Amino acid sequence: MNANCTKLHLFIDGELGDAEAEAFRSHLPRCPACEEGLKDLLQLEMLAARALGGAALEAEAAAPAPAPAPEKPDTKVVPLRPWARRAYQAVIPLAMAACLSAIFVYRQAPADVPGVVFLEDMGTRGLEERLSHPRADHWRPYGPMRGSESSVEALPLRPLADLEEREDLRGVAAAYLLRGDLRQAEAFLEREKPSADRDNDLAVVALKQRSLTQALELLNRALRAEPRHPQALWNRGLVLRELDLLDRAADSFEQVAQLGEQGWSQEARQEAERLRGLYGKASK
Amino acid sequence: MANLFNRERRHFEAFIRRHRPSLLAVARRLCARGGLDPEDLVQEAFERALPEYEHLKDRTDPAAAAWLCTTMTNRFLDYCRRQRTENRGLPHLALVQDSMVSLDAPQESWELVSNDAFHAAIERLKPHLRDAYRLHAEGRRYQAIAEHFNVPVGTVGSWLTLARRDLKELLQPSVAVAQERGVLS
Repeated sequence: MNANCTKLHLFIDGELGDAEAEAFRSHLPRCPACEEGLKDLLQLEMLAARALGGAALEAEAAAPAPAPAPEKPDTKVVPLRPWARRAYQAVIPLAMAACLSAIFVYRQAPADVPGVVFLEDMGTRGLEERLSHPRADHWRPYGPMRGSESSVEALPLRPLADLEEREDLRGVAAAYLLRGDLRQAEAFLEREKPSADRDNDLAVVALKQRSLTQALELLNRALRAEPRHPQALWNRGLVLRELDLLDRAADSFEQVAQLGEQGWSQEARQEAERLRGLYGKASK
Repeated sequence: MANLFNRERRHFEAFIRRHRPSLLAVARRLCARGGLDPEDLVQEAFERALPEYEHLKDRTDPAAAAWLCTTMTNRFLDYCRRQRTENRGLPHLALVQDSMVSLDAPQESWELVSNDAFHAAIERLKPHLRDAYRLHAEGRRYQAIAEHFNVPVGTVGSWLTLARRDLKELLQPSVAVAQERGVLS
C-alpha cells in the first residue's frame, strides 16, 4: 500500500487534480488491491446511480438525448473503429447486426433537437399517458400543466421540421401530443410505419379522445407484438382503470413496476397498490 | 426477417435506454480528470454487450447492470494498462490484452442486490452519512455537499467512505437471502 491507495475514493468521485488522477491511473495496474477496490466501489456506485441517481440522471436526460434509431442506414452513424470492425465481423450474429447502429445512434444522438420540443424543461410531466418516443418518456412526477407555462404553448417549428426531415414521425407526433394537439399527432402517426410503438402512441390519442375500446385494441396489439412494451403496459393500465377494471389495471401497472425503470417503476407500484385498495373496497 | 431485425433492435435499444444513464453517471465521475471520454467508455461497454445480448436479455436488470459495470471497469483498467505500457515504451502483450467478462462468471454479489434492498440499506445509514451519500448519488461534488452541511471538504470524503463501508456491510444480508432463494440458479 502506498500514498496512492488512500486516494481510491477521491479518484472514483472525480475529486483528484489532473496530475494526481494521472498518477493514480498509472498506479492502478500495479496494485491488485486498488483494482479490486475500484471494481467493488464502481458496482456500489452503479447501484446508487440506479436507485438514487436523480439529479445525475436528470442531467443526463437533459443532455442531447438519444433519438429513436432510424430504420434506414444513417449517414450520421460513425464507422466502427478498425479493431472493433474486425471483431464484430467475426462474432456478431446476423440478426444482432441490425442493433449495432443503435449504439452509435445513442452515442451520436443529434444535438440539434432542443429539449423544449419535448417539454424536457418542465419539472413535471403533463401527460399521465406514456409515449414511445424516448425523448418524451423521461419520468417526472405527473402534474397537469398550467396554461401560463410558456413552453407548453410554444412549439418550435424548425426543430420539428428537422425531425420530420429525418423521418422521426413519432417524434413530431410526440411534440404535438405533449401539447394536446391530437389531430396533428394522429396525422403524423398515420404516416408512421406499423409498429408496437406506433400502436401505443395511437392508443394515447384514442384514450385522450375517450375512445377506450379502440385504445385497448391498439394496446393489446402492441403487447402481442412486444409483451413487455413498457409504455403499452402503462397505458393499458390507464385504459383498464378508466373502464373500472381496477384489478386488471393493477396487474398491468405491476408489470410495469417489474421492469425496473427509473421513476416509472415506483409510480407504477404505487398506482397498482392504490388500485388494489380501491378494488378491495369495491368488492366488499 | 426484417421484423426479426427490428424486434431485436428495439429490444436492444430498450436495453441501452434502461442502463445507459446510470452507467454514464458512473463513467463521468471515473473519467472526470482525463483519461477516457466517458461516452466512449459507455459505448464500448454496449459494444461488448451486443454479441452477448442473446444471454444478457434473459437476465434481471440488476444482473445486467452488474455485468455492464464490470465490463466497463475492465475496459477502463485495460486503458490504464495500455497507457502505462505506452508511457514506458514497453509493449507487453499480456498487459495490453483486452479483458473479457464471461457471462458464466458471477459479478460478485452485486447482481443480487435489488433497488429495494439498496433503498432499505440507505435508510439504515446514520443520518449524516445517508444524506451526504444521497447528495453524492444525485451528482453533487464534494464542495457542494460540504457547503450544504457547512463542514470541510475533507469531512465529506470521510463521510462518503464510511457510508460506502456501512452500505456494503448492510447489503450482505440481502445478498445472503437472495442466494438462499436460489437467485443464482
